[in-house]
Amino acid sequence: MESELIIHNLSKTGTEGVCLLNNINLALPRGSRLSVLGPSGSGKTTLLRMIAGLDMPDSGDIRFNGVSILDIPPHKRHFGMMFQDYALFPHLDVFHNIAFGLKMKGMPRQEQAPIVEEMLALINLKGFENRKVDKLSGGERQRVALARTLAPSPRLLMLDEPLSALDRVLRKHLLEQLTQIFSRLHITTIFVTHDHEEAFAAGSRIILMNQGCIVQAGTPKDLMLRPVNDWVRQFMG
Amino acid sequence: MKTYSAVALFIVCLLLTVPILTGPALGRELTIMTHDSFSISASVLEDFKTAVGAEITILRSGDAGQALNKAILSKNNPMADLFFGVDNTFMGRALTNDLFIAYTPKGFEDINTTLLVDDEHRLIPVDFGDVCLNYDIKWFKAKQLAPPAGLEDLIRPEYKNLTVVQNPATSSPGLAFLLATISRFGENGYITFWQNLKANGVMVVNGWQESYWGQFTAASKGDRPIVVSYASSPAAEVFYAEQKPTTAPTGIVIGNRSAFRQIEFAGILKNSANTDLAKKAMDFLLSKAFQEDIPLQMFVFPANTKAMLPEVFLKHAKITDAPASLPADEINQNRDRWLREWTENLLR
Amino acid sequence: MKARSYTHPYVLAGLVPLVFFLVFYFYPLAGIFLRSFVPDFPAHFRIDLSFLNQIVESPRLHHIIWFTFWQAAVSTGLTLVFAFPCAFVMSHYQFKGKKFLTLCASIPFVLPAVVVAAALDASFGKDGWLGILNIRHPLVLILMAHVFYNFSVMLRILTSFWTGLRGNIQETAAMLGAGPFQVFIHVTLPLLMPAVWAASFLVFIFCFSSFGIILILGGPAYATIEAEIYRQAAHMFNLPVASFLSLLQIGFTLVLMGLYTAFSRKAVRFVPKAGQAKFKRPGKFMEKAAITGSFGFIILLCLFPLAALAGKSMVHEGQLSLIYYRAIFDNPSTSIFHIPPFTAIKFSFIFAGTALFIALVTGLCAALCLNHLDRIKAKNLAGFFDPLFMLPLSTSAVTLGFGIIITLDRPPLNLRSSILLVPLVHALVGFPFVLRAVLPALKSIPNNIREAASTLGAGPGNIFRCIDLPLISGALTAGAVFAFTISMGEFGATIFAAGPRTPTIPLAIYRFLGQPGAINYGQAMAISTLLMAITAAGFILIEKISSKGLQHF
Repeated sequence: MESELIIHNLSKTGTEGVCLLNNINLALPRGSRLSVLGPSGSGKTTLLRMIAGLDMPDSGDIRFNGVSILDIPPHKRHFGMMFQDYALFPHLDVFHNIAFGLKMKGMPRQEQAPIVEEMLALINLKGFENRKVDKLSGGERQRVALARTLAPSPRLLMLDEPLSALDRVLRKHLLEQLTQIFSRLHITTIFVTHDHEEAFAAGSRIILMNQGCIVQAGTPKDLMLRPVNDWVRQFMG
Repeated sequence: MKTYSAVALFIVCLLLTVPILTGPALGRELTIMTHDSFSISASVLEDFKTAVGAEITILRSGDAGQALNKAILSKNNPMADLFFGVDNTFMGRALTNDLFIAYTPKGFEDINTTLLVDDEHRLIPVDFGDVCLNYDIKWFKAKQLAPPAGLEDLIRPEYKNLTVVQNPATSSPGLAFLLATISRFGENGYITFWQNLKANGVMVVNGWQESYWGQFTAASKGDRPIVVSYASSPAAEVFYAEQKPTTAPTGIVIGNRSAFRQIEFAGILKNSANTDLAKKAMDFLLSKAFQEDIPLQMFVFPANTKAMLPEVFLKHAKITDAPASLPADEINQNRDRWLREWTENLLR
Repeated sequence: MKARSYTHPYVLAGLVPLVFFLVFYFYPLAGIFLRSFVPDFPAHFRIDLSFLNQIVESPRLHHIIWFTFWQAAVSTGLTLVFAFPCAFVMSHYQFKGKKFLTLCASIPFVLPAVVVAAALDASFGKDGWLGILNIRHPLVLILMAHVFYNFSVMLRILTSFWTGLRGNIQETAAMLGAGPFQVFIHVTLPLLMPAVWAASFLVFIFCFSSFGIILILGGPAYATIEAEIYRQAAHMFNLPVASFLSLLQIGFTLVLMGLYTAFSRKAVRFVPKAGQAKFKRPGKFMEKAAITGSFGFIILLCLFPLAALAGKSMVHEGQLSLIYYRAIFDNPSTSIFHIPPFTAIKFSFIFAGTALFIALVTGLCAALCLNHLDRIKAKNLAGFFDPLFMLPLSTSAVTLGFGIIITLDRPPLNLRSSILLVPLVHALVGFPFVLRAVLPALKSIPNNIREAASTLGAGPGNIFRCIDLPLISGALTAGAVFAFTISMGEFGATIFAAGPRTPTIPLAIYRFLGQPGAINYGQAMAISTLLMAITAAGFILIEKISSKGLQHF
């Protein structure tokens, strides 16, 4: 299977010489699901933002379908990103939040409506079209954010700790829903989290990051049964 | 919803700007720059326009000093064609800055010869008046006090807290009065006079209007019965009274060189684009039509000896034969220093 | 992709206000300074500093400089003393008439000095409603006028931040054993101090550069730097001294503005969510008394003079009458220089509308640029332009006016006699207010929303249209209404810029008040009342459209 997303020697140094990303190399086949695991400050969000185009690396390359995308601005990459605190548009209702990506594509309103309805069905929030965003609960917001990200059919889907703001019971429930949705659609997905249970459930492949470096990459089994060093073993619990 | 109302508001404001973009009037226009006290009656203005053959715009630009300063500042690209309102206290500054061109208007030979100061005919006298103390006759009668007869009276204890004058730096009659005291008491004596005046409770205000219509007992609810004003002010009081009295309610102090003669000039600005119109305007300023309009509009005397005075002037306005005066050069050289000295001493 | 680059459209938008400033502010100022200090330019470049002797040797000028600082400090102190308890009441309690009070307190700020002087005279002067007080001493009047003007500014800033302070922090302190007084001293006050400093510096700047009030109420004896600049330039024609004082004033103000913006930023750090809290209903007697006291005070200070003014406009020879209002639409005077009030009203609206448009566009561009610079960590650049853009608020009108006379007199910038001059000058003064209203609103938009929009396909243009603009529309409207009302009430610069055929309301009031007679006085009062009504309507509009009202300054 040819790799759709290739990350080659990606590096970035932050202020005061802190190493944010250290020669990251990664290859993602189309349709695969990757979980990026690591403690806070390990560089996982930075990596995601670079793929999205929101930050620029100091050196290295990111290729999608063989073409370097470093010079392409984020609004032209057609990648979907779900933010940690959802970043829903407060001045728009649920319908218009979800329809935003479609509107940016220039899709007329009549065509937007069926897609939005489809999304609402997918996330089990039928009837919520006209709800104001600040009247939604945490779980509802998360789902609307997901629907918004999926609606314009992005080529790649990135989720930055999508469940960390929710309580335990909800987290479990939504994780199941997410994994179901992932298996139905066939988009390449990158799921970032600090919780290894979530990482295992969400991704078929895991990379474990610490201080800007990939410490270990492999299947969930690899990390559990064959940790490369003590730190990995401790992190996995 | 919010956005719509905001946009609607914005469009309304945009519409309000449309009138600004509509073009100006066509045809030639003469612009006269002058001070805020300039006045002319509507019918004479119409005659003016006919005589010049163009629209006339009058730019009232502050008091006499301020208007002149603006003219000086803009002299390379003047804002007007004719300047009306240089008086003899500012003449030096105007001439040094080379603002005017020489021109001898029609009617020049009828001008009162005592008013001719500029040999080169750059500044033409149009009117004159005597700045002097005015007092409220009724008030002094009621207090059984003799009204002041000269400048020295103002510092006597009976006249404590009775006088109001204008700041010479911001008022043209105020400056004239200061010059009268300098002419009277000399360079070395005038500051002492003013210090005594200050000790005797003199009130200083910024402008003539504030002093006359704000503090003078005969014309306002103020409590000062002595004010610096013009020798023609009593005539104005009679003219504007609802029931015309036989004698004027206010008196003037013009004896003993205590009145200062203010001559008002007009000049054609150099670098103007309408010099031909300005010349016609200058002719009109000396004509009987304009000169006879002056007394009841600006309450000063016409320079044209052939102009007839209105009755109220003949009865109630006086001019003195012996005004206080100082040579124009001396005024020009020392005016700023005198103003500084006065300010340092009086306004602390 | 150039998210951090300086060529982002928002940064380029900053060129609009920059060019506006360069052409209509710095160029005229440079012109007049050049003329003052290098009198023989362009023939010789000889800097003439002989005027410095005059300044050094004049005890009066030293006194004037000292007095300027002194009266500004005392005015600020007085305003703080009155505004602080009222801010406490406004930020803690909910009661009937709260919005009305805010409205009353806000109107004085935009009124021209002429009207304020007339209002104070109508209430506390010899024939005023409280005529027994007969307040005539110029210094007392000046201080009163300053408090009258600036009370609302301080009240609004303090209330906004104090409201945001309430809640968790204070409750935490209480749980840790601090009594109410201790909470105040150890928690509330330290957190509130940056806001107090910011508000104080802003009010200080306004009082420092106060012009119309000093000119009208101060008389010849009391002068500030600003009034002295006017005297030296317009009357004495002593340009070097006037320009030097002008530079001095700009220097002082820049420093003060820098302090204000620094404290403003600190206040926002301490109280990020300014203005959001629930209010209590007053229960105890002390609380009710405090509220009544504040209510009464604000009514007395702000509403009473305005009411006295309106009252004078409706009383003719002892009876209620609308004769002065009717006179507005006739032209009873025979003088050709009479400014028909209706013409003045018409032009005031036209100028205000145009000024609003210009101020809005430039203010919005400046806010977008400054906010973006802040985000891409170009803090120094942002910190430099922020106080700079506030300069017109305190630059002497006569310096600017003279500068315009000598610089803007040739095509393509032959604006000296153009009708555009007045709105441009008004826009210069209104622009800082738009900036101060819009910038906090922009800052409060979390950046991840813009990033989310960009991952959804929104380029910079769409981000502006669909995200930023809707979210700041309330603040934008508030700034717009502010610029409009300020233009309506502008006096100092308008005297210079307005031509004889295009008068404005403040000019008309000034002319009417300069003529004797009851009709003229009454008409001046009538027009003033109309101006107050228009201003009040504008502020009510702000409250309706913007949920936060005029919170931020």
